[in-house]
Amino acid sequence: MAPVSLRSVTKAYGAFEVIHGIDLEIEDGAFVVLVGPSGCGKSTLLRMIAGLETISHGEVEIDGEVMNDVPPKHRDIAMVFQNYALYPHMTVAQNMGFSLRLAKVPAAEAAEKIRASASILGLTDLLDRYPRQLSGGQRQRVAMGRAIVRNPKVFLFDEPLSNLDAALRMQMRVEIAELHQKLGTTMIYVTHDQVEAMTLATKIAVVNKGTLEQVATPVRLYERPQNLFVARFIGSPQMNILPARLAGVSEAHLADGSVIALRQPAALGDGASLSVGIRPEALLLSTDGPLGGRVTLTEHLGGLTLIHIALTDGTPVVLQAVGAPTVAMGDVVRLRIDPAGLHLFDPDGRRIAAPNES
Amino acid sequence: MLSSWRAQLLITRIALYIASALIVVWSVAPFLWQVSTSFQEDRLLSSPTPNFLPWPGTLDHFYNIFVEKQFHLYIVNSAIVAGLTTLFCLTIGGGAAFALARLRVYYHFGILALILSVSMFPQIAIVAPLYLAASSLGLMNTYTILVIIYLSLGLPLVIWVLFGYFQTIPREIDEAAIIDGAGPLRLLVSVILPMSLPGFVTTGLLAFIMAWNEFMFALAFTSGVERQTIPVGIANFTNLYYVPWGDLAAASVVVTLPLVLLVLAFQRWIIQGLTQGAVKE
Repeated sequence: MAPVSLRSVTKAYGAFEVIHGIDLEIEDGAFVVLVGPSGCGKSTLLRMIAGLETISHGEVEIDGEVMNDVPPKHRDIAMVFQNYALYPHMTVAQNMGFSLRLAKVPAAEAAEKIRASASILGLTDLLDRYPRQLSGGQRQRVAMGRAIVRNPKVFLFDEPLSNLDAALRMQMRVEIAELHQKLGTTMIYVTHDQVEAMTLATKIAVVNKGTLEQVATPVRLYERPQNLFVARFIGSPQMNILPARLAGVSEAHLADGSVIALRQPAALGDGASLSVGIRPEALLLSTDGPLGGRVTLTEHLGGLTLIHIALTDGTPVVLQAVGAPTVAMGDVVRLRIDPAGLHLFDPDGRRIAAPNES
Repeated sequence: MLSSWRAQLLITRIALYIASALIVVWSVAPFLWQVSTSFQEDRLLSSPTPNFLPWPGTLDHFYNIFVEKQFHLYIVNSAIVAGLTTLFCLTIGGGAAFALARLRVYYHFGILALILSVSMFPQIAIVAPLYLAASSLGLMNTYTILVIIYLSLGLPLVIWVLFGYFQTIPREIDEAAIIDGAGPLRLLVSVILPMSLPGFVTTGLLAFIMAWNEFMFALAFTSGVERQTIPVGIANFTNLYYVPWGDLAAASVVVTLPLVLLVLAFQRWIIQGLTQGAVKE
């Protein structure tokens, strides 16, 4: 168990910089998820913490110790890979015990540690099997067992669930969350799946093009996205983003001419352009709403329904309703906006904070 | 109509069996004839019509080669030379292939091409210079010179095949082992080697067979029964006036057997799918 801190961490391949100076504080016992689109540098960042990639500039500190020049095996970390990376010629027990064998842990002690880890993960009956005899979920569990058997200071996960099918992914997600509760160890987890990020993290770091867009708790990230990128990336279905122009200080005019009343005055001048972001669940069907449009598609998800609507100028928006409202394709509807799910962004994509917002 | 595709299927299958049988006959027949020859009396061997069956059989030829021609001494020489060649080929080749495949080596394809070009020298062209080098180094008529030469002939193939094998092993396996605390040597021995065992077995066998059967260099660099290898020993059987076909056949049978046994023994290692289950494909 240990805190991890990154200070102005930079990665460059020759003159080509892929990570542009990242600062990140990870508290002891935190579950931090690095999330971002593919190619954003999140895996590179994780591999730099693991010691599999060199650090061009800046410092990585684990448990108060600068790790830049420390080889992976002395960083006291364990890593779980997307494709499991099990040793195919070793049994489950040998896979889990490989690091102990290399560390010359006495056989009896190692066997005890393997047994304890196996029982945490429900692998006790599989200890003598080979990886090829296991299912995908079991293999990933062995990969986790190999990590926890060493009782490391930090767990690193590199997209561990991406190779599993949907049902298994959900089950393993729960298991990882439970594992974190049981062990209380610092975990750093990389994924491109924002649902995994939202459900697992105590803190999410949104990475984009080698920089941190925002670091916050899942709820805060959802309720107060600091910029358009985070607003679009977090939340499913995506936040509706509509271009608008400020009229006075408390009205926004959309491209189709409709007017949205703002509860708080925006800190921009009259006539300034801005983006209005509306969460799908903050769009409500209402006979006297300020927005109008035509239903183009409805998707019934059971408890929820997604209604795709084209506004009068054709701009598509998505509305998420509870239950199954009776609208059909082609219906003309009016929409109002729940102010709690309304976000304003300035022309640079930065959040325009309401005055009472902290 | 229904029976027409069945008939076609049957014909295809029969054709396949006939083709397989022809290939088997083609490859095994010379060896079987050799075996048969080794058991035939000289009288039969020199008769105008060849005999396919060794009847009446005799063990004279085997008695000749072992008792009168000390054939076992050549076998010992060959076993030592081929064994050492295989051992060094696999250790040096394995290490080299690992370095080329996994470490940050610049121009590794250039190096691989260079290694391959070594095996393209016409061997007859390098016998004379090597002879001079060996004699000035005092290595004539030693196991050392043969092992050195066979090593340089065998290494290109070993390195190329193992390089290919190592390339197919996912990097994440290396990284997992590195995080588990393995250094490069431990990674090679405990993880990469067991995962590429089929490659090691195959190339090891090829290197062994190459060294076991090589004639020209062995003839040039050795000069007595204490160092000469099997092919040279067999060539010694023939003299100016007489070709002892029966003894030659007996010797060939004796030296082919170890190779057949080796391949059979290692057959179970030459299996596919050893990496199955390591990673998600």
